[in-house]
Amino acid sequence: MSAYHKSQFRRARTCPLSGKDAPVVDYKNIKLLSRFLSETGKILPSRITTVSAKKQRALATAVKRARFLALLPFVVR
Amino acid sequence: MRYYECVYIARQDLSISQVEELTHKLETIIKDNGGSCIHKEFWGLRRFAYRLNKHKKGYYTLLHLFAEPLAIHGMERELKFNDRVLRHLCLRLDEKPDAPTIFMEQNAEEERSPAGRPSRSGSPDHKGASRRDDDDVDDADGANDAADQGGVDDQTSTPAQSPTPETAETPAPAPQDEGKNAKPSTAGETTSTADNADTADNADDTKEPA
Repeated sequence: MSAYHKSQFRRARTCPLSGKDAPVVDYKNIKLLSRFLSETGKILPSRITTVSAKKQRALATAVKRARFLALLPFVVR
Repeated sequence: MRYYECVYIARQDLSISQVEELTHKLETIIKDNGGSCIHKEFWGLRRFAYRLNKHKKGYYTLLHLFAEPLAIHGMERELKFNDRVLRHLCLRLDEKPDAPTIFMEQNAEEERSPAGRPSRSGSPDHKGASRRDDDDVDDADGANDAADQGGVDDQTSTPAQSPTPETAETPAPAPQDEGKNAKPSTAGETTSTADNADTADNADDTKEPA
């Protein structure tokens, strides 16, 4: 009982990009993409950002496209 | 016939009318091949995230097309060999795209907030004259832009940064009593709130048996 009870208080570890009202992963949405980048411009691992595997793949292509168009940096030194 | 999305970057030293001319040329290529341009967006002069072929800024234009692959190939060839174009990206879309893209909505806000920015892409560039002067101005402006971006980055990257301290803490809470509860809830923005919830929860637990 108590174990179940605790889990209700714990913050849900759900993917921020999945679900009904989730934002669309798009290379043009720089503001969204930059939330999933490290300070040096690397793509953060999904174990830190809790993005689902499917969305992480979409995120990676989106970031790479944005980089190609110089919307996002390849590296920040 | 399929939907395509094409973004291209024109050189900074062109005038806006020259960029429009280029866009028009691409549109005619599409139309001659039986396609149509559904929507076009001019994103204006944007600062690059890195130096692109020794350029710091460029004019971005987005086109939403409904055309045959052949028409797209013809247009891409033009983009490839036109030396006014720094870079282009053409993507096939599965369904009809939304008319104003996310980019326009977001960056319209962004451009308004830092003062003096809208005027840059406005009247002075229209004339297309005195390019050398403009370059100097751009460099000075570039420094400002960098400062602006720094400010914006600080705000936006806060949620992204937050996981780092949490992961660093992961081994730490073990000796504490709440160790078992304080499993790193990485989805959370702040560790403190999660901890508070856990401690409150703990207090409830201790009361219950009594």
